[in-house]
Amino acid sequence: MAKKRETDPIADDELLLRRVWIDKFRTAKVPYISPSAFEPRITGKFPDTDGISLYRLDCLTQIEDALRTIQDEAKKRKTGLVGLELIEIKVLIEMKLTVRISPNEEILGHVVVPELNCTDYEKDRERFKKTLFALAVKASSPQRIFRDPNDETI
Amino acid sequence: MVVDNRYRNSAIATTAPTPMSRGSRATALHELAFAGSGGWDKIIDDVLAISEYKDDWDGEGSLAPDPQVVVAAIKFAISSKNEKSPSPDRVIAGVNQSISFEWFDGASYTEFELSRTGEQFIRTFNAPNLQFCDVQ
Repeated sequence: MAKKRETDPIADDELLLRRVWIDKFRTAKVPYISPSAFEPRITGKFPDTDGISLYRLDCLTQIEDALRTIQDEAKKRKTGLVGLELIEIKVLIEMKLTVRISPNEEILGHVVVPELNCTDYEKDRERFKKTLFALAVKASSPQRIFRDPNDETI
Repeated sequence: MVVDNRYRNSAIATTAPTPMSRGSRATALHELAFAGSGGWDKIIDDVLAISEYKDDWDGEGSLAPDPQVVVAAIKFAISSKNEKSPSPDRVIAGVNQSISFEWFDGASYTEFELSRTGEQFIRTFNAPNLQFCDVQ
């Protein structure tokens, strides 16, 4: 049973999950998570037109629900989940980031970061890079890694 | 600083690689790749693995890395290995058909990105210098 409905306001200390491909975990160094884990997708099937996607942990019944839209089981196993509190996203000084509730039909608790959208990123990528790095540093804390695809027990 | 600006003007940047099929590219890359040893070998292996990525490699609709980016990445890795440059800690495929090499040196992080537009970027960040603002 999820703790919150997806229409509920997002609390500052609420954890928002980001899906991260296995390659972006692979190092023993810091930041453990690559800054590119937060890069807006410009090309491909699902460009981040409205901003990069995150999922509210409190709206999920189980953490793996955040991976539901990845159809291929092998790719799903290679996808990790890291969490950031809303407040950690809001305090980044380089870009005034916000988080907007953006319900979709497949996963409850879908939210977007509108400022990290593909259009603005394509125009001036360098402006984003320090912010992506800062997000990666935050997400690299051991307490924020909710699913590491390198962990063979999952 | 591990990477310097000489790579901006290297043969990688100025010589447009010949487009190849995915199979022949992988073969050619293998021939190039196993010329020596060291930390770069693992990185070269990882680039070769990335070269096999197809569209939707991540299950989220990302396109395969640009073929010219893959060739440039392997050439960069091999020339850096031959020059005995410090090997990166990680190489990754970006969601926008790019490939990035990443170095970590205590508190600093350096990224060398080969983008699908043919541009190359070097960035360094110092984690302790990150600033955060107060939010009420």
